[in-house]
Amino acid sequence: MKRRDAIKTLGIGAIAATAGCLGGFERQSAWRDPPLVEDRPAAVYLPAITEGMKMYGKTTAGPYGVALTYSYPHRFWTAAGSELGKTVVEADDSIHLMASLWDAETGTVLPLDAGVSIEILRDGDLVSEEVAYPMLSQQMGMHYGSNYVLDGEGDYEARVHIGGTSLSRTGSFVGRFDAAETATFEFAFETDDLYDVELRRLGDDAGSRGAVSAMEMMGVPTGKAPAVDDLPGRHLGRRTSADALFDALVVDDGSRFGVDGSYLYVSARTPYNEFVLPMMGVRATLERGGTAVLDGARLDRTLDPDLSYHYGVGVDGVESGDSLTLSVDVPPQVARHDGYETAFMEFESMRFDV
Amino acid sequence: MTRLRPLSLRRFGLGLLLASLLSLLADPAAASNAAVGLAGASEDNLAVPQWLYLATGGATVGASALLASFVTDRRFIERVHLWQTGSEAGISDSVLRALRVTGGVLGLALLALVVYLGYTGPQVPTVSFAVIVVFAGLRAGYTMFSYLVADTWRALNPWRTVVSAVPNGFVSYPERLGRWPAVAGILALVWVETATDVTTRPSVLATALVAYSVVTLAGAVAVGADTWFDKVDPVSAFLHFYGRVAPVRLDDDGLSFRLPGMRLVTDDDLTDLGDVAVAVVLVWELTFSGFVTTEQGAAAIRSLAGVGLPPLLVYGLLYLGGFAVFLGLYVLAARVTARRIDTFETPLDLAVKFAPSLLAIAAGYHLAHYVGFFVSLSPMLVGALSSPLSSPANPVVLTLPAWFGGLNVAFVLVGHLLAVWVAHSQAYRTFPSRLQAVRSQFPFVAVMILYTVLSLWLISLPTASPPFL
Amino acid sequence: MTTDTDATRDRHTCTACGEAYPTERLLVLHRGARHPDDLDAGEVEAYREAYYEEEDELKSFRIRALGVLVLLYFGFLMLFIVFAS
Repeated sequence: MKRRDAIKTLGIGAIAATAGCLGGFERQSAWRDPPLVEDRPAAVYLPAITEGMKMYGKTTAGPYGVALTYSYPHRFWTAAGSELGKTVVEADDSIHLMASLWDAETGTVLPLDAGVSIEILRDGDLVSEEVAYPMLSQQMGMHYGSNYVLDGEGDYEARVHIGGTSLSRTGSFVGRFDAAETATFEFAFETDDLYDVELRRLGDDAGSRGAVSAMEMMGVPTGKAPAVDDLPGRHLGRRTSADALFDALVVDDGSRFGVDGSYLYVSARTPYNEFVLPMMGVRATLERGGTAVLDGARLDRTLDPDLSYHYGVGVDGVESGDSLTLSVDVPPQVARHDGYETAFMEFESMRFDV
Repeated sequence: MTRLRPLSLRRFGLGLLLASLLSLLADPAAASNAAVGLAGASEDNLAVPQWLYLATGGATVGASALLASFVTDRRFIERVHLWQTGSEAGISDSVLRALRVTGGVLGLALLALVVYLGYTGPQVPTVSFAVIVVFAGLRAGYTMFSYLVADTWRALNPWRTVVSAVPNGFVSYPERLGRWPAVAGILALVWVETATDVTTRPSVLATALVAYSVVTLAGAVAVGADTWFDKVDPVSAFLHFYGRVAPVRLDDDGLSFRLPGMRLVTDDDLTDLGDVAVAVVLVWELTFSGFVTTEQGAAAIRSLAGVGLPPLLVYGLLYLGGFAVFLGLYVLAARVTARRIDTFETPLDLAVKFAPSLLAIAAGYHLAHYVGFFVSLSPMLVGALSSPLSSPANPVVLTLPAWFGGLNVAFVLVGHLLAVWVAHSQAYRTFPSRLQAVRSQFPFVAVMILYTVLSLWLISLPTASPPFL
Repeated sequence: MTTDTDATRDRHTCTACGEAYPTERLLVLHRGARHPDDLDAGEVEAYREAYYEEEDELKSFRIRALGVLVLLYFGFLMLFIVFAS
């Protein structure tokens, strides 16, 4: 066997020790940092390997619908400001657990911006507890997840703690999602089940622009943004920046949203799968006849039952002849799976002529 | 016979040998680190250019051959290669039988598990019992055990265990074929490993093993277990040839320890060109897979395939053509020697006589190519063997420190140095004139220097995936 | 085993084991090294002579080999000093 090639074929990344010449033999996961596609475009691309997932359970907790799904431990990318970090698979990680959150009444997926953490117990004793990062993956859309350490096969209890959110909420969402909730799941961890999860190598397609199609799973919403036609208000246009799609709309009577005058909002989504892109810092400048009606105004991250997750701000009015410029000063602070880590980082400003 | 050698000159010769080896070995190690790019955090960053590193490796082998030629005392040479210790009382028959039975059961159990788990276990190669045991275990670790410690394959061989239990040997094996079927078999197995999915799809590996078992069982029952596993079965030939280098041997005469490689001098069991071909194929298959997994190798294949040839044909031509070149070079060295030395030995005789030293080279190359792989995959192997039916959720490997690259260079060189000594001893047994013995070595040493430089060059290149496969 | 029976050279065959050599000297060296007990006084004398003669040849070879080794050693030392620092 080609030993060095075997190492790559088996999906293991570089095994050189990083501890220098005096470093010794350290335990490392064979899946720690699998080779990336060469020449990744600064856009959404098809990754080298895609993993499926299976579900441990679905329940409701307070206003939330919660589902617990799992997959192979894998690497993901975190965004801190405009820096991209990499979280590799640690030698002791056993599983990648994911929690999907949605509003039990409307089925809207909820990127809450707030702390979701998963606590894992066995026979009442704590095994591990870790923050579940909000993340975006081509197959699963918007979810909260991380790699977790388990203690071998057997029965476990997972408690998904959902913190209350401070996001602006409008419509019937006002006052909802204030309280912290916990959803509890019992599951049996068997490695045979884990290895039943689909693992696909994309071969020649890897690296090309595109996305793996979203996985439809048993009533678990994946976080698709609502179709533009279904969104209320006048559609000012759609622009692309950093491979993300931005739709700007304005609702002339913004009273429902708690503002006087009109409500200008932006629905941001990923290309191909059209998942909601949350946790961005978006600013708007609206110019009319040389004067700025809005000058770099921050669009608030808001949750609404009809608009889903969007960025909105009140404005006196938007008239034809105006020119709207959107700029993103904070990239989405959401973790990403392979395929999304090179997109949505550096945004050019977008101009809409009304 | 009185000793006519001045004692001081021999001591001086040995001292020079050690000093030269130490100085020449220290630098290639650092050179390998720099060349392979495993930059450590150490202060002395010796940046040796690649040509110098290769030349040093070649010169080490050449220098050691010259130094070996200083040792001309026949008695001393015989003492070295005949030195052995063993258990005085021998091993009792019942213990031997118990060991054989244990080995047989173990071998059968492993084969059954590998095939079963290849089909039913997880299809991810990094956690597949089948893939890990066959490649990290058998191909790397067990082979290393066979040449570093002892050859235990006769007991462990599951197919032999099965065939010995049933009547066998109905057809007589044409003796002219010699070990050529084994040569073809090894070439075929390595080709399957390179060009098919057996390393990444456990179910394909299981199917390959089933096919191999069917062929082996049928053949061995037809021709007889001893003949088949001695002359035809590629896995047995592979392991037994490597096992000739090992220091320990347990057989009907008991347990004996010899200096590593010295059995190569005294066991006269290579008799014809087919045996030479087995030794050459062991060296060649490592060189071939070493070549196609480097960037330069991949580039060469891509450019050849770009001319319009189908990729598999390119690989096939390189594979078989390279083997022919290696075998031809070796036989050419034997021919040159036979012409230059006044002897009735034919080139074929010489080629056969000096072939055992090729096994020392093969063992050195194998160690250089596989020890890192084996060590880093050892947690996975231990995990698989300790709980075969339940795979780990996350396969763990060991990282290798930066100095491991230097270790590979050392192994290549040690393999060659051992080969030089074995060939030297063999020459002394063959030729009555000591000067003839010394001079007979030059063509073979020239070939060895070429092999060394090629092998060191290959292990210093950056790795890449073989294209089109 | 000597098998080149097509040789037109003389065959000097050892009476003890049957090995054949192209020259008398080689036969003498062979018998002295392998069958020392078989030799008579004349053969012992012949062996001694051949052995000493060979000694001289080996000495001169060794000096040349030593010279090559020293050249290799210092040559590589120079190369390393020049190219590898």
